[in-house]
Amino acid sequence: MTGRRCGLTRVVAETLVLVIAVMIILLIIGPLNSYVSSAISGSVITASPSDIEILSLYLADSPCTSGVCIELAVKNNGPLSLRNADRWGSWVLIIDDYYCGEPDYVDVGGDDTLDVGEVAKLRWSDNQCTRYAGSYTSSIYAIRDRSYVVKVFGPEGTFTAYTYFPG
Amino acid sequence: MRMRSGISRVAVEAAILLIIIVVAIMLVGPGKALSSAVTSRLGLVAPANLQAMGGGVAGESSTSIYFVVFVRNLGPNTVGDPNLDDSYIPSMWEVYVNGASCVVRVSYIRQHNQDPSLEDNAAMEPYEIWEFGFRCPKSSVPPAQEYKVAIYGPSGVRAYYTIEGG
Repeated sequence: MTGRRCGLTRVVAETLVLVIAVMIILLIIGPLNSYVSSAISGSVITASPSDIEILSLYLADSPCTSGVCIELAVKNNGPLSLRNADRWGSWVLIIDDYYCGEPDYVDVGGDDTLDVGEVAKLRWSDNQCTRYAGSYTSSIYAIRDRSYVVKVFGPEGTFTAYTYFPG
Repeated sequence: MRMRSGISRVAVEAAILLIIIVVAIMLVGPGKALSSAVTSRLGLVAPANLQAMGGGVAGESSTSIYFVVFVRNLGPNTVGDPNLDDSYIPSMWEVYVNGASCVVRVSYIRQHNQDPSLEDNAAMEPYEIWEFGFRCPKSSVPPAQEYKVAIYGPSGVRAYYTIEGG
């Protein structure tokens, strides 16, 4: 036979496969990992899916343990609807880096989704916010005659901050 | 004439095409869940994202500074071993402040779980919120205007938070 076999040499073919394999490994565990890990991990939340905004904040004028002590209106500015908006643990309030906990009342329009443009009403029946630290445990009361930095953490990793000024 | 040694061009191109398709499926297609599970199991990708929510300096002694940081598990998976009790938590988490190692003292569950049986284990279920309390020796973390806190947990989870000093 005089016809030559058409194709790449084994060395070239193996080199190509090796290069591709090394690239894949680098993408998964190497220095490029951070760029692709979110794509690989799929459902891992790496950034907030939507912007939320505090529209209003009501604070009681004294320490309070019942009724409406804190009330917040939080709007979803989009671009995506937020699921699990009425689920356990979806909303958490932190004031001046003290933990105020989750609201006792959540109104997201009767369903479990905060649509784009929709406003969630959140109420707390207690305005004591705490840090547990053994003998260093401390707390504040979020009352209306002081300034605070207010942070609200919402569903699906959303977050917004607001500076409250009295009056 | 000697035959050229090697696999044919068609075979090589088919193999490369196959690899590309498999990678594409693993990244964006129906294999995403599988690759996520595999990479999580192998520890290549953290099983969950943590959200540091706040924190501060809780107190100070002559030798140490005491801090707290609130951390939420955004999911999708549980962090830590649910079969261990919460006494194992300090040994499973590491905290560094301004690059110096600190000691995890306690972790309080601030967002209580709906299932009480999950309250006392060493795992952080999705949407559970813990308050980490930790102590840093002043010899390595002197009082400062700013404390950069890095919290590392099981399976590669991590959270960062900057505390403004007093």
